[in-house]
Amino acid sequence: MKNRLKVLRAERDWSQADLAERLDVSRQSVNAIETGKYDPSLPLAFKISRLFGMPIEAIFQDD
Amino acid sequence: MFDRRTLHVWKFILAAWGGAFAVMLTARFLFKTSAADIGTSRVMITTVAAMIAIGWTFWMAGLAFRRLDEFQREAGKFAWYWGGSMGIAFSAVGYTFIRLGGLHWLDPADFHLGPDLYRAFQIGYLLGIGCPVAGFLLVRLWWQAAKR
Repeated sequence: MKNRLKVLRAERDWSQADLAERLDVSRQSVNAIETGKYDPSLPLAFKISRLFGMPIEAIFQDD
Repeated sequence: MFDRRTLHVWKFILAAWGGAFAVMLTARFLFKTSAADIGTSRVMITTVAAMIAIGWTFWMAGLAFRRLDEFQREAGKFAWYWGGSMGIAFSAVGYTFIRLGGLHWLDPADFHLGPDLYRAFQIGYLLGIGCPVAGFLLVRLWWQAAKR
């Protein structure tokens, strides 16, 4: 699954650690999601969606 | 190097091991149980101590698990599923080796395992524990490297 997490994070000038703290996950999780090596659960996807104020499908796209 | 979450998890892991060892050592030294004593009290005290130690370990494991995020939990579940099942499967290889007398090549008497542990190793019992744990560790390390 592709996602725009890295771009959205960069737009806000957040580091991976900043985003991880806001989402209450580890920095490694953020990195794995950004690089497409791990797909977040639905609750975490909703959390990301709320944080960026965008619908889930605007952040995550199916391959 | 380690974030706060990881440090908390390691704190619980160390507490789990330390507590379990403390309980078993207390049972051994406080109640003066020894390998030579095969009476009911030694059996009961050691069994109860083992139950307390395991209970403590799982309590700490539960607290550690709650500290993990979903990515780390997934890594643990994945590693136990694949590493554990592969370990069980590969233990058959080790068991075959032991049952056919392969231990004579290794001569485990030189390992200074003690009679109980030596016997458990000799009949292949430890394979059922050691191999899944080794499999878990290998797969967990692979996950750590692959999802970096």
